[in-house]
Amino acid sequence: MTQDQQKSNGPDPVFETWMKAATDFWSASHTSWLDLMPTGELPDDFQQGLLGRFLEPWQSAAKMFQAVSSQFAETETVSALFEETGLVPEMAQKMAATWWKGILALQSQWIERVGGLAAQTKAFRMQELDREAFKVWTEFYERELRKFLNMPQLGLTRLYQERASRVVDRFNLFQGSLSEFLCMIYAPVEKSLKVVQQEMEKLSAEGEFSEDFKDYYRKWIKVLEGHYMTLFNSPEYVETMCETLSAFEDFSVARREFLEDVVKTLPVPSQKDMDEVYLELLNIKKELRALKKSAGAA
Amino acid sequence: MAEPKLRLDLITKKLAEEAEKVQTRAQKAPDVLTGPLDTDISTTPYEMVYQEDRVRLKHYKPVGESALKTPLMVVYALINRETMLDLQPDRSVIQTFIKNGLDVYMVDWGYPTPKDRFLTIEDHVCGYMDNIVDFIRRTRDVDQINLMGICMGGSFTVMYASLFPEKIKNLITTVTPTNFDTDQGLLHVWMRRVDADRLVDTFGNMPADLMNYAFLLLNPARLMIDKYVGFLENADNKAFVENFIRMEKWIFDSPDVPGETLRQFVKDCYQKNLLIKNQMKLGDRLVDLKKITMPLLNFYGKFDHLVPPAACELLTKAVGSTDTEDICLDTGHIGIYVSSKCQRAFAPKIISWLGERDAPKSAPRKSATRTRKRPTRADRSPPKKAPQKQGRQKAPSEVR
Repeated sequence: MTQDQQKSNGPDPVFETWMKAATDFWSASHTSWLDLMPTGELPDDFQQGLLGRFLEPWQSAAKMFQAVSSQFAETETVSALFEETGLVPEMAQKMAATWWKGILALQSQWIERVGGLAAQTKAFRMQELDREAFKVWTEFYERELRKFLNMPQLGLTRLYQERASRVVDRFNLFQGSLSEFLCMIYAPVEKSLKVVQQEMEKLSAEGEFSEDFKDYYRKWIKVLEGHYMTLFNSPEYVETMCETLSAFEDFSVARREFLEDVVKTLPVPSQKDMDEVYLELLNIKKELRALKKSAGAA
Repeated sequence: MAEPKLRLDLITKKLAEEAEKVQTRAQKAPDVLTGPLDTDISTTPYEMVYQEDRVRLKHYKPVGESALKTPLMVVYALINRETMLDLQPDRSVIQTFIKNGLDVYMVDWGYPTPKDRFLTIEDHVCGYMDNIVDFIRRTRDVDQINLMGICMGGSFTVMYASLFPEKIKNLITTVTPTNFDTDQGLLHVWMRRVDADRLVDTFGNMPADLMNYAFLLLNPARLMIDKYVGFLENADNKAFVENFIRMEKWIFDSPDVPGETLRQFVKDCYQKNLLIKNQMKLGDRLVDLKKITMPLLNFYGKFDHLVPPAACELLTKAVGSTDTEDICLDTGHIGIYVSSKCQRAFAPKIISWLGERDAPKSAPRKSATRTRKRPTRADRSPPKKAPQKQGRQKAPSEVR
């Protein structure tokens, strides 16, 4: 396959076509707006009334919009604008391209995983747990998207903006970890169902299929319990559990810091303020009790 | 004609029978669930005789004459509630105790709030517990009391008994973790990896909901699926439903755990295993298990997945007492208190064991020694007779 053919088979041509179509749509649609704009003047007596006074500013705004739009009706103006500024801002295009590539990468991972699920499964084997699917999202997020949230903020409210960005960032990371954790928790259910299914097939082939479905339920619960014990003792689970807990802690801290900024605007003490009070109170109580005890002993 | 491998006729027949049973159950279950249900827990009457901050002391008076001179103080864990010992009338350890003449005081740790987050293990053991012990000794005119601990409460009683051995006559520990260097239980495996500092710095008190979720995850197959399937299968059985609801009420009635207490418990016990090594410190005080010289009765469950036998069985060898006994029951963590089989083994054993040791020290005592050790100096010297104070027993309410 030549480079041109590879390029034509990849996502870029589709993306470029989509972008071009979108731009053509928006550039063409503005000309039709002109038809919708009011062109006539309102009658004098109506204008002089209260309603007229209310409508007057709207009419001025409409006239201004009409004047600007009529400029856009000139094809030379539009062409010059798009040529100078580019079809879309470069940064937005780059972001959109990054998203597109990331989504395709995730899709191919998921397709592989679904294909893998159809394969024969062995009981009590947790080694085949596929953590890579979630690692792809986490790596993609950390590599491509996180940098936008970590951009330094400017201006008087920069600290608050940074904390807000940090909440969003930590939330995304927590969601990634949590999804991985929940998927890991669900894996034994999947595997145990498959094991029982295979058992049922084997028994029916041998003619020993039990009529009582409760036997299969009990068997499933027992297999599921065993799978969970194997999973919970595995280092992978402990690691994922600790990572999820850590991500939750990070998110909780970031959320608390953000909320403390909000609470500052209200006459309400923050958690930090109350903790300081609690500690002081506790120390005072302890001193008082010690004094009471020594006074009592004396 | 050969016998078909899959007997569809039998399967469908069985399915039809099951469907009929389900239908009958589904018709009766709403009547049971919406009808009057006796699901109250902790119904044995008691008197609240002491309170200090959130901590309260319940006094259960014996039915009839008091069989023992020495009152018993029960210390439950900070996780879940002490109401488990009085879950239902026919499975109540407290009722068994008081019906057999035991005078029982039970610590109610209450529900920690954010202001309790800085309370340490030392505050609980050397603060609240010591104050309560002194209160009981003062109001009952006794020098010593019997002390019983459950789970983490048992760890606290072990620490207390080593720091204040002169105040404890007999010590009973049940499902009490003292050795944390084991991989037998999942909690031990997980706690070793948890960053306790970060956990406590983030949350303050350990949220009860998070702990409940963690406990459910110990065995999700049984605790989140099979348990409720069992409930649905018996939803038309009023007695079953009542017992089930009582257990549900208790198991999800979890207080938060004070942050600093949890921090030290995870770091010093689960991660460094200092308690059994006699290296644990509460403030400036060193917890030395060799100072536990009073008789010790140690219960644990063979199938306990929370506090496995390996976490409990080293205690009797680590203490300084010569009168020690281990009892391993064929049950799990909670089964010791609520299973009908263990009701016959657990509480009666405690009553008889305490009864044998309640006589004055000068009186001859039946030997119940299960472990042989070199006698200590206390055993060689002549026994002191406890001074007998005359006067009415006073039990005023005391609030600090």
